[in-house]
Amino acid sequence: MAERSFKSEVKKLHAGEGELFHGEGILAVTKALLQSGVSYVGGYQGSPISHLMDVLADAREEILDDMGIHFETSASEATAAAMLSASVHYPLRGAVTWKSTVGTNVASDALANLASGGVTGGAVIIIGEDYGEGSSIMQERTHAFAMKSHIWLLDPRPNLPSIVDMVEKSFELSEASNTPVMLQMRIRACHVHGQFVAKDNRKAEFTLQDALQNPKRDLSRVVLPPSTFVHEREKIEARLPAAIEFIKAQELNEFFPGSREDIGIILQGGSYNTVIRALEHLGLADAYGQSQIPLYVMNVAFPLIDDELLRFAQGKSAVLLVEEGNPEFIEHELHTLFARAGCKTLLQGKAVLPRVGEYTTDVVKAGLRNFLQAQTTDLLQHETALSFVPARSLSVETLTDVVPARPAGFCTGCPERPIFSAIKLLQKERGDFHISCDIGCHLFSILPPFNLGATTMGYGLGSASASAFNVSSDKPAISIMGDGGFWHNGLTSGVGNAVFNKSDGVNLIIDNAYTAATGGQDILSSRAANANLATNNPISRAVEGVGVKWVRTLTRTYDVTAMLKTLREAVSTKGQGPKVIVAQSECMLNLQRREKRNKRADLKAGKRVTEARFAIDEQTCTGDRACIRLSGCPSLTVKENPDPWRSDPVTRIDSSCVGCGLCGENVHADILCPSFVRVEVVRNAGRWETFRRRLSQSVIRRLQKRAQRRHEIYQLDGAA
Amino acid sequence: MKTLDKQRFNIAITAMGGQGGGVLADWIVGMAEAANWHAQTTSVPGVAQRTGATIYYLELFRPQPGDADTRRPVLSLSPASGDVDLVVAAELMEAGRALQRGFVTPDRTTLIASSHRAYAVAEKESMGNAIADSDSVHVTAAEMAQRYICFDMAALAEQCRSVVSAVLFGAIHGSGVLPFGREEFEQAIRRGGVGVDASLAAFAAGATQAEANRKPENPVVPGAVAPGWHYGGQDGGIRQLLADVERDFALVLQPLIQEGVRRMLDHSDLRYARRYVQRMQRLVALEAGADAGGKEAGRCSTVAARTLGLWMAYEDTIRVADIKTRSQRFERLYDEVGIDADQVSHFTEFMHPRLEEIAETLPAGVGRWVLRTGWAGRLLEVLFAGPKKLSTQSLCGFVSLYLVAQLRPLRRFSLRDAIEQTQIDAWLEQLEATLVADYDLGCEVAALPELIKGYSKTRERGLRSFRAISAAARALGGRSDAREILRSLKAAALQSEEGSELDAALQRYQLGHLFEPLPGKQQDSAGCASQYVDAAAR
Repeated sequence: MAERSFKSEVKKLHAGEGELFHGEGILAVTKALLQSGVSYVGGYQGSPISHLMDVLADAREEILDDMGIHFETSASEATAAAMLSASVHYPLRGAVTWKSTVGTNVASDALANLASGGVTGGAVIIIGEDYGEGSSIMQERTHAFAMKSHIWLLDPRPNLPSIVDMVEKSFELSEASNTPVMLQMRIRACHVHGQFVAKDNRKAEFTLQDALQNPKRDLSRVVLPPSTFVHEREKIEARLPAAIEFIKAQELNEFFPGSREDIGIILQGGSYNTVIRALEHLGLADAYGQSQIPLYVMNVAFPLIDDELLRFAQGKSAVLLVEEGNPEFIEHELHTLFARAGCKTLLQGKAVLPRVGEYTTDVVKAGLRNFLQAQTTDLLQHETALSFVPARSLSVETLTDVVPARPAGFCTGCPERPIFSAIKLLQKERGDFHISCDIGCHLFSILPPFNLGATTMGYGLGSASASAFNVSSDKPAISIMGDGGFWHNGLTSGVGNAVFNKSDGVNLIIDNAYTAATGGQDILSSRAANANLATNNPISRAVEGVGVKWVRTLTRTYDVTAMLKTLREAVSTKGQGPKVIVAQSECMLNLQRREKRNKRADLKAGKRVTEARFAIDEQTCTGDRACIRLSGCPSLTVKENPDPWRSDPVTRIDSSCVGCGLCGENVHADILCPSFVRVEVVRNAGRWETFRRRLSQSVIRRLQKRAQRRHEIYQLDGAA
Repeated sequence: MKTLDKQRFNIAITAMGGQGGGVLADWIVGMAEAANWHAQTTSVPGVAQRTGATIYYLELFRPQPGDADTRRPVLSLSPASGDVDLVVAAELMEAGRALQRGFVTPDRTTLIASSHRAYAVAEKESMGNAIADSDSVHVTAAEMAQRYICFDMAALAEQCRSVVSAVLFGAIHGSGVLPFGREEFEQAIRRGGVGVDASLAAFAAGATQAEANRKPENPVVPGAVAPGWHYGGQDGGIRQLLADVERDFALVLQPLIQEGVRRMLDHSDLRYARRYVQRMQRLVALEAGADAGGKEAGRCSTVAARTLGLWMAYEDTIRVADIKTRSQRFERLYDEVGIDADQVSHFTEFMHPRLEEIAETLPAGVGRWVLRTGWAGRLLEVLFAGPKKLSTQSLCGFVSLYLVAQLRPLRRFSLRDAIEQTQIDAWLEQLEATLVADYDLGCEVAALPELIKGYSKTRERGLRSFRAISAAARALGGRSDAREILRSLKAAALQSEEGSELDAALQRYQLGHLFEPLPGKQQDSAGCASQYVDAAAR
């Protein structure tokens, strides 16, 4: 079950012609797909499009089934891309989605083949472009894939009406040019809340069943010589002109006139709101987007429409190109275009804007100023500081040393934390190991306080990236993989590969029952029963199936001592091929959501309910915080030392503690201090329990009073 | 062509997971849309949902009379510096970050921040005190914001059994930045439909406090010296000892020594308190003769009164058992989880005594013999050592700890006491010698026991650093920069548990040989123990 439920939001998807639709960008995309008459949807979750997958999963019973739309969570982005082959021979509209550029990397084999043969039905890929602030991946451009495979790339203005319109047009464009289309959504656009006027949902006329009943094949669409050479020619000579024709006829790109006809700005649709705000700050546009400088907004980032661009540049002395990311593909192409056409307009892009980084309002503002100061004689000539921005006070500079970084970390009670505590303890015993990491929540182990792991090469590639270290050593490489990555490709690329090549390394697979990092979606090995999916396929069986001999499954990761023992055994076992440790405990976020609900119900029903959390004896805590360095749990925090004679903060456990038990386990495994106490409160306790409690309490109180007497004689707690 | 004044309101909210930042953004948007404004919100969550901070950015746009339906404003998706009317920070350092990013400007921005802290990993994991300085944020905020409203909203939220977002929403109303009435605010909460009553209470509390526009409370200065202990009992021996303290110590020192006496009484007994006073008397007498270099006298004793007191009140099994069985401790735990003594509850104590801790509780001779004698050690280990879970709410668990606590009068015969007193004497001896030769260096030596913290292995690591730096102090005696070097060594010792920084720092001064390898890596516990005793005997 996913982290966030969209059960109530998906009801909005029924909205019909003329109704005003309020919601998040992702929800608007889903609605646009329904309005476009899609037959199938697939994809792989990941920020910023995880919610799109969750919305679709929740919409399945509500609406998709009724409309005959097949939805599935694909095993990987490659699976999703390959799914689009249903549109190769049949007039079926299909859409898939993933996080880019990492997902596009995975999908690119299928994408290249799809783009080469071309499509009959509209094939659209909703790309969650994870670039700039908040991104968790390397900073690259999807644009490169679009160019190399000839897939059209749409980059709509980030408001819901434009986005919805572009989704619908992308299917038409795909069909008009027999080419797959990518629609790029930046992080903020995915999460933007806005509104648009809905249309009726459309059922596909040609169904998936129709296709199966009347199978078709056309050898000329299959990527095999000699068709491949024909495809290449078709791309340039037939599909590209068709696409350009469609884009021009439908006016997908927008011209915004302005009074300053001597200059102009060319921009990607996704940057529109930022550019308008920058112009407004500079006094060159109003709040409604009325700009003094003419704009050419490319909602289609690839291909470029030569005659539109030349028309825009005509009669202008200079144009500014706002193109985010690098390399500056559009700028290169524009220079070529201008040169070939003999256009004398000066083109400036990265000459006045930074080569790297997100184009925020501040960045665009500075670029615009540079451009206008050099290319006009009257605009912003005396602007030295940018308007609105006051001089920076010195005190802000002092914050550099004060405000701490906040790297991502494991949630409170996360079952993965104890695994890394155990590895840290192993390293204390044996020295450091080479650890190769993977993508997923477990990657937070690379950050403080664990500081484990040297590389992370891609989703599911944790084990594969240790494959070079297939040599004899008393300290074998340890590779870490999550269950998500394992099913994505790690079973074959990592574990299978290690078996085949007789590697002696240690493979730690973290099985928290979900793809937790992307929002807790189910996978093959999920333990929960899911009506729509086949779960409960153990990882241990899969690895045994590919030939692993040494497999240990730990069903309670919180047992640090057992974890440490297993790790010790794994690193010292020789000659058995890869050692696989499957460390299982359910993602605490998911577990808590369920448990809290159940407990509330039990409490109401008068059933016995126990609540546990940890606490610290501040008198025995000396403030060395070895416990924190071994855990990093958010609920394990600090406070000022209550003892005025000590200056170092003491550890404190805040009320967010879920009583997972790791603190106690760490005390035992690393022989820490005796300050930790687990406090369990029993609600609706039984009679016998209450009686026993009273009995023991009366004795305990008497003894405590006796001890207290000594203090009374001394009056130790007297007036301080 | 600038946007009409107060036609558009730009709002940035920074919140961490679980603080309800998304709910707050939804309330604001809901309120604006209900008033027929254009409203847009967006956020950048991603991995930030896991303990990091999320920034929500909102723009609210008041339509002008005569605006056609088709004429819609272009709203930005991210805050620009100098273009934010309201910054809402659900935690103090996040307010600091907003200031750093230029969102807060004097001509325009109201900054509403909760003064509570959610500490970052770097602050928590440090071996010393790495807590960020809140005052710098207050100073900058007061300077950069048009208005700065800051109070502990987390505490207020807890009082109302709600989350900080509801208090923040109240504070936004109280600040008067947004042109919506109280009814419109409260209606937004009601429309949300979840935990309405608690949210409304927290909202009201936040609004009231923000209207009062309280300045941030003055934080308590850590490490400040508490006033001395006033004895209210009738014990003649204690009275005599305290009279001696008044007679023998300067006024500034008296509160410290009195507090030390209280700690020794709490830890052991009057005999032990006398020993503390005697040790201090000796030091003070010696310091009087030393050349303080013209700076304030008594600096060294002030430090040593504290470090000696903390060291002498060392935490052994008896002390831990004593603290764990006290009634005040029970009450504090009940209080922390919000129950009373009548409620059925269980305390599970997590302890891991090693053979060392068990042996050290025995009389010194017996303890040494046990550690030397393989079979005896193993027997004791099997019987008492190892990971233990103990319930102090059950009779069996409580009584066994209670009995250990009753061993207090016998503590002075224990091996642990012998070890500690030997080490303390060695330190005092060095301190006295250093003080006479180099007063400033002496003051550093007086502070050195601060490095010894924690239990078992953690304590061993601290002791190792202490021993290495003490030895370094001896070796450096006579050098004019000895004090600076010692300080840098101490700072290096606090860099990591492994001590590699200290090792490197020592090597810089050709003192690498002073750094002993830790007992441990894969040695059996008997090996550890013997090394431990050897070290202690030194």
